Amino acid sequence: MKFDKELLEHVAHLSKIKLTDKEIEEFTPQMQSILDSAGKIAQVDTSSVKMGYSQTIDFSELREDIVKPSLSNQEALANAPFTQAGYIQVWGATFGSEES
Amino acid sequence: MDTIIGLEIHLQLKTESKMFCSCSSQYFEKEPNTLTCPKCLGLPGALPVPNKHALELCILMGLATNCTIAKHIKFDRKHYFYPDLPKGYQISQYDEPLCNNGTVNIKLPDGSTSTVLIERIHQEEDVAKTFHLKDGTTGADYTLVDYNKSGVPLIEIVTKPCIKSAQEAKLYATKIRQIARYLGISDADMEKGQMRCEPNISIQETGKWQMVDNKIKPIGDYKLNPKTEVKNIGSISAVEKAIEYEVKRMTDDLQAGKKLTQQTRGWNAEKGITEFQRSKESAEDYRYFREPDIPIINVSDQDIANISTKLVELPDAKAERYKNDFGLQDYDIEVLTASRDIAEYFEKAFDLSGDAKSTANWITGIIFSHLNKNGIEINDVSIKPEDLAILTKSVNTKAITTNKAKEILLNCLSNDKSVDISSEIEKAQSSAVSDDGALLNMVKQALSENEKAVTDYKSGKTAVIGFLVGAVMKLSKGNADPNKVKDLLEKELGK
Ligand SMILES: [Zn+2]
Repeated sequence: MKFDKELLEHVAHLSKIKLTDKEIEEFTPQMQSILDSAGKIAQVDTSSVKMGYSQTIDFSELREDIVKPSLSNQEALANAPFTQAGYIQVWGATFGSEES
Repeated sequence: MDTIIGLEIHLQLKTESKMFCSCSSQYFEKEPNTLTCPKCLGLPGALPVPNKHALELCILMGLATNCTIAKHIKFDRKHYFYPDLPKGYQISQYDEPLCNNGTVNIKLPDGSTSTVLIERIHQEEDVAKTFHLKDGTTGADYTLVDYNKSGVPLIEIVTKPCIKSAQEAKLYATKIRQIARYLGISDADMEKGQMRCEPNISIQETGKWQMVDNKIKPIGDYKLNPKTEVKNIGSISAVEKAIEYEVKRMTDDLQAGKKLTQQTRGWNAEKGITEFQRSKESAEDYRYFREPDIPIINVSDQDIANISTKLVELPDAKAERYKNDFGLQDYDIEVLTASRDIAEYFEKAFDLSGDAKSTANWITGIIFSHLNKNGIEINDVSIKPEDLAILTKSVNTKAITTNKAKEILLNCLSNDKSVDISSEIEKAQSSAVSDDGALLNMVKQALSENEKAVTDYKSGKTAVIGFLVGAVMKLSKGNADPNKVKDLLEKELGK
């Protein structure tokens, strides 16, 4: 698979990160070599290997719909660097009105 | 130009606990982040455990819409990056949805039936609730996240691109809501976000495209116009409005020589327009792959049979039965089957009175106008099905007149408290008896005012009695029992 500048920019967009021109120059061949390396798996002949599910369970074994206690608000927020009025706070416009 | 619409409908399932953990799914109006655990917060190492009841409800919807149910349930991870999704992926189903190839019939205003083809129904989980704000002093953007909704069971019902108009889309969404509520699998309230409709819309030149295997294909060298997806639709009526707006926008753009692009737009209910949100991400961008933390779940015929026992008579079957067994009119049938509560009210009242037509008339007439006027539901009215049955029977046995029954019904409805219909009827009867003297006076008055009719009657033209009954009824302002009037008239004339 060919990995070019446009594809790198698309992946950066999906990852919500901005890359400089220098980084794009630098990362494009790196990504290409990562893909080439991973692509070797596709060359393995699997024609004789049957597709199967390693592990299955029966429908009747599934969890019953019963509520158990949740974490307290303090516990839930314990590891959040920023909080406000019981909410977890995330800074930045990245997640708001991008492209609009 | 042809309009081609596919509809994706999300329904929140009515379960006690979440899809993959045991936190309560009753998040409405709860304090933020009080219904979470390591699983629905997406903490590393937490294992998802599927909720049996949620899957049962998804299968129930599949059975109710004539889908084929898969023999194995496989979950996949759908990746995207957003704070409402703590794991960095949503557990969903990609290439092997639980339910496939269903149908839903909708009735068009011209009386014809249209069949909407369902491509798939799959099980997934809801995301957290986010609020986008700006810092008051620095102006910095930030987002507040409440994970209570994260992991609430969700099903997605996807149609094939077979819907031809905004109106059809609205009728289909209404039907899905009706079926979901009949089954009790979801409250499906769009205002509360329990049901979300996302139409995919494209316009194509008539004769330049065709449907091949339920996919839109160009004919010759015609280039298909891209589709738009509309989100943030908050009501059933907005489904129709948003599609109408979008079709007009795309048509206008094309006529102005602009190139259409594939995009996601948001419905702005206040302005009545759709607004650009983002260029659509494609399936590859979600990097779907099998959820390795959940084993494949076997679904046996016995499992399906067990779930089938929870199916109820659905609106289409009810409508058919009301037509064939009771001979009710289409309009009455539509009103009576609109919700399961109304249908059950009707059926209970009918079982006790044995008179379907009168029962239907009372409900679709006086009771319904009372519901609409006061914005209440059928189970809120003071008249219970038992009361209505007593009233209907009292009219049929001629204990009271239809007009009197109407008066009692209106009276009782305007009384919020529970009513004693039997005592109301007794009161009406006793006042009717005590009014016998008044009725006799009216009969005498009618006879003296219509001497010609009296002469005719006495000379053998007895059919004139109908005219005299009418005269008395007019004097009584419709309150008298016409049969009683006729008896009294005959007695007087026979003297
Ligand atoms: Zn949880």
